[in-house]
Amino acid sequence: MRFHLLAIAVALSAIPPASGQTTAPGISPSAAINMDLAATDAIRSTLGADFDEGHIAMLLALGHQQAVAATCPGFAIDPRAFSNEFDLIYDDTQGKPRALDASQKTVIERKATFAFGTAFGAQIAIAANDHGAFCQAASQERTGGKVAHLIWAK
Amino acid sequence: MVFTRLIAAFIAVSVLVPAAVNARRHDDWHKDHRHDRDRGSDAAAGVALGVGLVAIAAAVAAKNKRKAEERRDGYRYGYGGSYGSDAYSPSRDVLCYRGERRCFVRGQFSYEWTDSQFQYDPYRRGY
Repeated sequence: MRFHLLAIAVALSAIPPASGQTTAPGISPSAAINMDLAATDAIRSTLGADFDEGHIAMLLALGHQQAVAATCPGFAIDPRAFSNEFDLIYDDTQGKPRALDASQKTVIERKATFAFGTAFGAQIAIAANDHGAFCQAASQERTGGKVAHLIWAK
Repeated sequence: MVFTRLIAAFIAVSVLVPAAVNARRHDDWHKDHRHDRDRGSDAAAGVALGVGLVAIAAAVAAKNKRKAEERRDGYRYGYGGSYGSDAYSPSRDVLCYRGERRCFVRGQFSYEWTDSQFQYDPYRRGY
């Protein structure tokens, strides 16, 4: 019995997990994706340890949505939603306010603003590669209803 | 660079030597006209050699310049060349990049796939 359990365990461990993912080695990213990834790297390295991955993702998302609102017809920014998102820079990973003195708060705000501006500018440049596809993708995400915390006005 | 300098020095010598020959030829004109004819052909050969070397040096310089420009362009336009080794496709038309934690659908950034593939916040604090 013990041997059978051991054999089953070995057999199960040999089966690769069914993750549904396929690796895509050797794929050369398009110019637009290259630009996006390079900007993402630059922003991440600029923000440093003062920001976690949640902050970085949020700032990148704000930059993208701001670029969509600036260049695509039918899009506008909801200022309240923007503030609700941006103000998350003051929170920690558990959603509680970080303990920041005045100088730390200033540094956080400047870095976040710089990251947001960089993401915004990068997305404007990325949109120029194929503006129609850029706007179409944003429209599909807005109407798809699967994405929370968008800052576009409804 | 050293090779180019050697060629330049050689050209300088080859151009200056015929010039010296020419100067002496002028003095010797009345002394030995026949001898001057020989020196004249030497001078022509020297000038031709100089011109040839100048052409070679120009070609080498142009080649070096072209290589430098290619190297510089490689640096300048090579951004993003390292991306793609960690890419995977969780679904049709979707590409995600682990290192940057970004997903794209048909080449366009996707919130939906980025959020589903790279859940960054175990507390789901609202973004």
